[in-house]
Amino acid sequence: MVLIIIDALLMLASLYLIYIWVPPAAILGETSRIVYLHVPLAWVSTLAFIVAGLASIQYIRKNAIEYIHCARSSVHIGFFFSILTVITGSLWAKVMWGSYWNWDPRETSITLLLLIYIAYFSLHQIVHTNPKGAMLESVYLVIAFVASPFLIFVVPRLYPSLHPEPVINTQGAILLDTEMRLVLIISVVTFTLFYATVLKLLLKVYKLEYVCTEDVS
Amino acid sequence: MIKGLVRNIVKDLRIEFRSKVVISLILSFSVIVTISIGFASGGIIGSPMVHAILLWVIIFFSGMNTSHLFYREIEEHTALFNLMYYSPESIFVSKLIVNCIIMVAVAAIVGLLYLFVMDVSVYNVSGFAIMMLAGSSALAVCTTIIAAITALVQARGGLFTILSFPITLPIITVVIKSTTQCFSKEIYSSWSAILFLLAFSTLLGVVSYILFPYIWREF
Repeated sequence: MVLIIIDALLMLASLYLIYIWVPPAAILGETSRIVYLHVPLAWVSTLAFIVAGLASIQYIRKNAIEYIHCARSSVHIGFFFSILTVITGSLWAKVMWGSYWNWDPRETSITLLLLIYIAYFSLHQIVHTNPKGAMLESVYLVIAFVASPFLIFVVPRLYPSLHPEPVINTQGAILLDTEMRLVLIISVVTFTLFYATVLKLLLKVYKLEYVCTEDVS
Repeated sequence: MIKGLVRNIVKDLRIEFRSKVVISLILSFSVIVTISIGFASGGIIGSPMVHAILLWVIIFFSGMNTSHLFYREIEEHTALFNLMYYSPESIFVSKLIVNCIIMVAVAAIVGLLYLFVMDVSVYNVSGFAIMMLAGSSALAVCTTIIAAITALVQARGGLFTILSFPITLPIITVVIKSTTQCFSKEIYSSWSAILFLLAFSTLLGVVSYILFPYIWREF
């Protein structure tokens, strides 16, 4: 409960900072505010898929049901956040580049990532009642986890991109004004905490479902 | 291990050639699709990129007929026998090699057929041959573990394609780009593409090798 209250307060504070406090970027204008949503959403979806991959590895090693619950929950959250990343990115792309979809390498790579997890949902639908299903799901999630860095980090660098290199560049430095950087960091922290809260709630739901099923059987 | 590996590879290849089911499926699929495309387009597809896309889509879907490699062990109840005599790693490597041989053969047949039917000029023959070899091997490496996963579920044919396609899309994207360059007159170096294919397939191959024993236990 404490986590939910802290997260709700942080979310309100972030919204105030994003839409009222921080000044608009010099050339991009008011549209630049979407970056404080787009970047944290992309970060949380990446984090969720990483957690799903790591939880799957743990399930394969220890065969404990809570790890596959964690992996499943995290994939669901990651998928939802990826869709929001695509939507916010497309809106910004329309304003900046004149079209919702430009086949930019980063747009393509997040689509591929979404396809991988859509395929996972198909597998989940078929095997979730099968006793062997959890192991099969885990193996596929580990394969997806290994393939994802190529999509997120390698493929976008193989082809010329419309995404701004000066914001997050090859040196790893964030070239933003102090105020903008502060708001971006607060927004990233808020969304990460939001992810942790939702994950915790989903794990509780899975645990309840599992206990009920065990009781019935 | 090497002896067992070779024995398994020879056995699998012998079964393939004896039954001829998969070979005839792959051949008829690739011939029908290639000729249908040629017939529908009247042989006048101009762009090298369109040719490269069509060629790799045909190779990919022809290769999807190899999903039975592990399912056969369940169907013929030979999984337990294999489990007793061979290590899971040895079984995985043998299936991987058989899959690679089949995929390279598929790529060679489809490639030659496509060039012949669609009358495509290849300006960089060695680059094209390397790309066919590297691309089809990389596809085989990435789809072997998926074939093992889908062997244990219902509706495995459709699921195999659904699970394989997103994982192999980075490979297909890179090979289409390189094949396009081979079909056009631009100067081209295949090294970066080969390096990408090598890195991607090696990583997935190693991870699959580590993970396979956990799936094999479920057979």
